[in-house]
Amino acid sequence: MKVRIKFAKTGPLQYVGHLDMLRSFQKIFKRAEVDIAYSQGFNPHQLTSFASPLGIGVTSEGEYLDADFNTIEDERVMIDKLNASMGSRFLRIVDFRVLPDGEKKAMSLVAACSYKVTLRNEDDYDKFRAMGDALESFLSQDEIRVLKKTKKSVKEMDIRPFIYEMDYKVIPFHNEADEIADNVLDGLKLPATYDTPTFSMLLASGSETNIKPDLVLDELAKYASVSLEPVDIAIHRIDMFKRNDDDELICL
Amino acid sequence: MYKLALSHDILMQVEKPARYIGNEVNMVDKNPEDVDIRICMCFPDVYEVGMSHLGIAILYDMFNQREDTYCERVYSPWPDLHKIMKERDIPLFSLETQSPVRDFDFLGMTLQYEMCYTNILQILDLAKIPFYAKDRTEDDPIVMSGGPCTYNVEPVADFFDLVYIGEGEVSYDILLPIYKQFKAEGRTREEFLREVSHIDGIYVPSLYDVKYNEDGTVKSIDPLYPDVPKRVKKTIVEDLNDTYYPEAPLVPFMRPINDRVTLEIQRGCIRGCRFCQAGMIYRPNRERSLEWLKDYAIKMLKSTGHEEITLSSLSSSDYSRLPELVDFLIDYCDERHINISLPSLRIDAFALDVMSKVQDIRKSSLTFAPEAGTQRMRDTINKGLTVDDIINGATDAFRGGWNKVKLYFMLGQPFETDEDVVGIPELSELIAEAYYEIPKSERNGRVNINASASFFVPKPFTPFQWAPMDTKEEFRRKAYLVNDTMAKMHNHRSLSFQYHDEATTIIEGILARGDRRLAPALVTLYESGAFFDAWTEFFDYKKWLDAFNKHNIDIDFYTTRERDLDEVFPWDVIDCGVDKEFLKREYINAKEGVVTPNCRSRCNACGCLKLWRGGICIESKN
Repeated sequence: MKVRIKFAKTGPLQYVGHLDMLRSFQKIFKRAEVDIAYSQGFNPHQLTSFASPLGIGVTSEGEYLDADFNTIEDERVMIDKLNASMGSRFLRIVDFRVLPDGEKKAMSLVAACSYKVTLRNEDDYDKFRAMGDALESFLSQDEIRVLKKTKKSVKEMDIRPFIYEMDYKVIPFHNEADEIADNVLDGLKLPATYDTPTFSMLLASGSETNIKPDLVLDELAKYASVSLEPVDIAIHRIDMFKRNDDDELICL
Repeated sequence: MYKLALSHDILMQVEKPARYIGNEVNMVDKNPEDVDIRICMCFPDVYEVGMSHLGIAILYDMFNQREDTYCERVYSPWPDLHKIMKERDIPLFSLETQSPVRDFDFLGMTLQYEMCYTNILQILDLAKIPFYAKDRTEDDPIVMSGGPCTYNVEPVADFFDLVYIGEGEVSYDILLPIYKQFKAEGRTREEFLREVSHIDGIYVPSLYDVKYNEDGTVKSIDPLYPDVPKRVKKTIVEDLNDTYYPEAPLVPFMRPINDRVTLEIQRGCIRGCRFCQAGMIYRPNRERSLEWLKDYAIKMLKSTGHEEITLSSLSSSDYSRLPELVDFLIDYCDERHINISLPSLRIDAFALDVMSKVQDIRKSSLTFAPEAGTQRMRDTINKGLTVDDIINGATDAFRGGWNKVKLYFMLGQPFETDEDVVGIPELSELIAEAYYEIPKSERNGRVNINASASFFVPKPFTPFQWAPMDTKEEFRRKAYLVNDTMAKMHNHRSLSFQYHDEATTIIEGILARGDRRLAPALVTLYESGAFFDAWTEFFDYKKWLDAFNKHNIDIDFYTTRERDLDEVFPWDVIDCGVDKEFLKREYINAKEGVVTPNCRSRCNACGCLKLWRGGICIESKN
């Protein structure tokens, strides 16, 4: 049966690349001794696929992995078993569910991703404030033309239609790494320590159009005449979305 | 919270930032405040290489079993990070607590190959610890080393406060309590070093005075004080079934060179090949029991989730319970989709049967290590492998569907003639002919025979420690001779030949049998920008020559000179268990082409039996 596993990857593990993560999950399933399905052939491998690769330096609490299992136990038990075998408190399973027959692979379903972007350094807060002030006018433009680099070429495109939602707030800071590592399973929230300017956004994602949060922020920074380096910001993916039959975005 | 020593912008700049973040699966997490002793273990090469090393895995586990000790790790920062650390003055940090290496009580380095010597200096430099032991203060860690290169540690001896000779499982449990006591009593590092110099396996280079003859050879190596032992005896684990071994080794997130469980089935080797240092310094051969191996194989596979297990030893085929072990592993691993890798197997009917079960024949190749091209030469080096062994093994394999063969040779071994050199392509050709002798219907396309040669470096504590090494030009001439002869072979299209870099070999030759006078040249070399010399892209021969020139070091003195049988060697201060008299006998046997039987068929009185009660020495002989 096919299952979809949602997991969080935070803290120092943000520096572990996508391919290494794939390999690590194979070992996690082995350590957990769960009954995952293997391909046929001389070198059988686990039947797994990731929804969307996460860039190095980006944390997430909404990563998805599809896998084939021969047998499973209760979903709660599966989550606990896997979490006991993650090997790092910065990698946590947050959901495990059996997919209905005919569900496509997560990889081909992803239509949007939500992100939270904060600053890594308190000294830069004024920059985000200035950008926050310019956000409404930035979004009210008819089009936002950017040069988008792909592996093969650089092309100009209008990204405005693909920014589904974007807002700016100063919200209580919480450290995803610690929160997810220690508390996500019983739903506790850490007390706020200080307020931090935060951009939240919902952006088009997937194989057709993939808009990354740093690209949007970079455009906004230029629009607000703020100089912002990519390493100044901390990007955290919140979740991934697919479209239902009514073309509405729902969680994967 | 978590702490990283490097900022986000640095981690995003460097290649493979996962090298520097620690937090691996099975990492030991302790509070440094709660322990008395902090040890930082270092493999002076890049993370992926260092993380693959069994020795550190054993010691990491052993040290961390002690409640009073926290052992962490560090590896050589890659040149991109090295540059940033120098520019921004970032001190070298451990992976576990991401804290400065200089704050540790001990910094222990494993020396696995000579070409890592410049990286020793890189580690010390980045950690802000003085290069020379004599310049260190009470604020610096005790810098120690271990591993095969320490059997002649002399070229780098001045960089270490103490050197551990032998298997690390033995003497640290004596040394560490002394350290703890001395630290509590506020005694000096000098007092500590003097005290531990009495322990088996502990060599404190600063407590020995080396005098030289006018011709440059060593005159004497004497302890400075009467209580310091004249020679340092290596330590071994006599019973390998009752010792430390990690049940839950570290599993890195980024791919290490060896991404698998390593099951060490035995130590030492019964064979006695005369070129082989490992075969001498790891004597006597000691096996782990079948029960022990089964138990650890399961524990390690479960705790790591690895998809492959490999057997580690110098010669797997000589392990007496190999068939039972392999049967067990095949049974256990097959249903769990775990691969088995079996290195150093001698190709025979058993090996082919096993290989056909654990490998994809179409993709795998047969490996033979004849080491020399003619029988005369193989007798000289005491490599008990005959042409018949090779041809019969290969023919059986060809019938079984294999069509790829790898052959390992060495060029430049003592008493080698051009006839022996030409023997390499001739032997390759014979194997190709054996392939084409089987009916075409049974063949699997064209045969592919890949011979490769390394250039021979005479090593301390081998029968060839007296032998002259070939010159760079001679190595190249021999390699060309192999190549040209191979091109003339009937089946030359099925044959290929590769050889190692001869410049690196020369440097290895100098360092392998070097002495303390090389240390200043290594410092000059490092200061001229050389490190990561084990990596061909960073190795710069000219820098090495310049550094040796500057210090008036005569390369030929260390490499091409034949040593007198009575010469005092820089490494004579070490007692590795094998007597110099035995090695001399073996050198003479080599000259005369006399073969010496392996330890299982007969004791050849190498000296180990006098020292230890373990392994092959006390087994009954056939």
